[in-house]
Amino acid sequence: MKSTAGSFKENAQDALKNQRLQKSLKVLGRGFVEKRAKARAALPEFDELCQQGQAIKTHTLKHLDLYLEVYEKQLVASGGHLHLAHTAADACEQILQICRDKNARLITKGKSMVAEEIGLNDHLEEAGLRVLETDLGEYIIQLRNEPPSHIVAPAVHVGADQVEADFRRVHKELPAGRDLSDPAALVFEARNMLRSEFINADIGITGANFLIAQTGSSVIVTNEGNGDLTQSLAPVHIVITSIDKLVPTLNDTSTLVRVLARSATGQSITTYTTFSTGPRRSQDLDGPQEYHVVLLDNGRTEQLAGEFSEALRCIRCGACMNHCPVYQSIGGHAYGWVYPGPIGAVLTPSFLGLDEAADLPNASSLCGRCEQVCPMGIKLPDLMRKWREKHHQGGGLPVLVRSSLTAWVIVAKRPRLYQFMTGIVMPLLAKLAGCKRNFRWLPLATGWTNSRDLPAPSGKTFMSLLKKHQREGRL
Amino acid sequence: MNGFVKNIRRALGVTASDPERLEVVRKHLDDHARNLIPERALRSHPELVDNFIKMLESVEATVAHLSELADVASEVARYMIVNDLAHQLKCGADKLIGEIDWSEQSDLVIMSGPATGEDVLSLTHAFAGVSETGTLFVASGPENPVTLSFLPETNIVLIRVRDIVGSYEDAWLKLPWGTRGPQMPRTVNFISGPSRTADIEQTLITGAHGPCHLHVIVVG
Ligand code: SF4
Repeated sequence: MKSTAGSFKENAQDALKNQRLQKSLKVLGRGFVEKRAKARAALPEFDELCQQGQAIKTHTLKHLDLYLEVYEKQLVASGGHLHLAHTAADACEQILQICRDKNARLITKGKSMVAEEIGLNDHLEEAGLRVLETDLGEYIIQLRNEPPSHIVAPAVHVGADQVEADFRRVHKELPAGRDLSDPAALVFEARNMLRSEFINADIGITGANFLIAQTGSSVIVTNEGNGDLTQSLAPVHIVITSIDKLVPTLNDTSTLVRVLARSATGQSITTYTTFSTGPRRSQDLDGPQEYHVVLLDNGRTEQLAGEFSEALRCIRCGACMNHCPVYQSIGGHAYGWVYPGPIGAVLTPSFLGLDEAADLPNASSLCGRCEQVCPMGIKLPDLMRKWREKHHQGGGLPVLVRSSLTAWVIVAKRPRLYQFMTGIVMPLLAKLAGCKRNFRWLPLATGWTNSRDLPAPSGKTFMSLLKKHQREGRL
Repeated sequence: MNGFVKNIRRALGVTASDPERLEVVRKHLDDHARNLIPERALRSHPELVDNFIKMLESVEATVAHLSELADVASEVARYMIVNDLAHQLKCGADKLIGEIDWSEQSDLVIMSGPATGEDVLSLTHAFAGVSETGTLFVASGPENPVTLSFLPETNIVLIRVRDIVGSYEDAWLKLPWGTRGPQMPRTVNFISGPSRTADIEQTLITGAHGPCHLHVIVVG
C-alpha cells in the first residue's frame, strides 16, 4: 500500500474538518468501547487470560525458529505447500506465480491486513487478474477505491447513504427503483452479488489470525462467513500471513481466542473460527484441492532483535485504536498506511522508516489508554516514546520545535527565572481569556485552537498561591 | 526454511542445537498443557447444557432440545413449515444423521453431497459443543461437507447432549487423537450463531454471507 504517513499533519487537519467522518467516529468510540467493557466484566478470568496470552506469545517469539520448523513439518505432512517471503515483493510475486500456474482469472479474497501491507491487490490487478474482496467492509472500500481505516472494521468511516450510492453506481444490472434505505437491504444485496463469484472463483485468498505449530493449521476468526466460502469453494486456497502469527498448540490458541473477540468487538467469540489443515482429503467431496501458505517476514525478524520486539505479540484486535483519543478524533486514514492508531504509530516507522512516519509516534498525548486495554500487554506509550527519542537523536525534529524546547530547558532549569516569567504570563493570559476562561483562538497556537478550545490559566501560579497561603498561615 | 530460520536465530542470538531450548519446545508440544479454563466451563453437565443453549440463543440461533433421535424428523418438518421452507434438505454421509427415521415425512426430499448455490437448507452434525460460548464444532469430511455449513440460507445442526462439554480444550479431545494432537480434518469449524456483520455503521445484521438462520437440535 502506498503511504501518506509523511503528510500526517495535513491528513489530520482534513480529518478534523470532515464532518461525515466525525459522525462515524462518534459511533465507533461508543460502540466498541462499551462492548469491550461489557465483555470484560462478563468474564471474571479475562485479565488473567490476557496475561497467559501474553506469556504464550512471548514464549513463542523466544523459540520462533523451532516452532516454525515444527509448523513447516506438520503443514507439509498434511499436504500443504509453504512459501517463504522475505519481503513484500517476494510475497506478491509468489502469489502471482501460483495464480499463473493455475491460469487463474478470478480471485476471491477474505480480509487480510498482511495483504494490505504487501499491496497484493494492486500487484495482481496489474497482472490482469480480477480480485474481489468478499468481506462486506472490504467490498465497500474496494468499490470506493479506498484503503481500510480500521484493522477490524475497514469501512467504519463510510455512512450507509454512501454505501447506497456506491451500490447504485456499481450494481447497474439491478432495478433502479429498489429500496436500499435499510442497512439490511444493503447487506442482502452484497450477499446476492457475491454468491456466484464465490462459486466461480479460481483461487481464494485469506489471511490468518493464528498459525498452529502442533498441527500445521491456519486459523481465521470472522463473522460473515465470507472467508469460509472463499477458502472452500475455490479449487485453490492461498493463505497470506506473517511469522508473528505462530502459536504452539491448539490449547494455546484456545486461550488467545478467548481474549481476541472480547477485545475487538466485545463478542464472547466471533460467529466463525475456522481451523484449516492442508487441502481436501482424498474422501472429501468439497474444499480446495491445493493449500498454499505464503509466510511473510518483511522486517519482522529484524524487529525481533530490537527494542520494539514486544509489538510482535500484537493479535490485531484493534482495542488500542478504539480507545485512543487521537484515533477517535481523526480516524484511520490520517495515519496514512496499513496499521492506524497506537499500534500503527509503533509499527509504521519500523516498516517505512522514521523519515516517512516520524509524525505518528509524536501524535499522542501518551495518555496510556491503549496500554490499559491491550490484551497483549504491549507498552505502546513506551514504544512511541522510544521512536520519539530516536527521532530527536537523529536530528529529525523541525528547527522551531528544537529551538523552543532548548529555550524551555534553559528556563525550566532556573527556578527563579521560571517563577518570574510564569508570574508575568499567567495573569496576562487569564486576563486575555476573559470570563469565558477559554481561548477560541491564540496566536502561535492555532494548531490547537482550530479544532478545540484552550483552557486559560487561572491567573495565579502554584508558587504564588503557595507563598500566599504560607503568609496567611494556612499551611 | 533454512535461510529464514537462520536469520531468526541470529536475531535471537541462539544456536540450532541448544539442548535446553529444544527440550522446552518438545515438552510444550508433547504436554499439550491447558492454560486457565474459565470457571463457567467447569460446572456440572446439566448447567453446561443450559448455558450452551442460553449462549446460542443470545446470538440469534434457535435451539430445540429433544429427548430422542426418533423426534428429529418431525422437528425438522415442523421447522420447515413454520419458516415456510421447501420440503427438501441436503446432508452428508454422517452416521448419526443416517440413523434418523424419516419414514413419517413422506414428502421430504433428502439429498446427499456438498452444497450448491441452489440448496436452501442443510443438516449437519457437530461432533462437540462448547458451553462457555455456545459454540458448535463441525469437522469437514464426506460425513459433513464443509460447504453445507456456509452456503445454504438455513443450517440445522444436530448435536448429542453428551457431546456438549465445558471448554474448547475439552472439545478438541473429541477428535481422533494422534501422538501429538488431534488428527485434523481439512477444516474444523467453530460455529456460534448465524452469520452476521456490523460493517455498515456498526449496525448488527444477521445473514451476511453465511447462513441467515441457524437452528440447533440437541438430542438426548
Ligand atoms: S497493540 Fe494490543 S490492543 Fe492494539 S491491536 Fe495489537 S493486541 Fe490489540
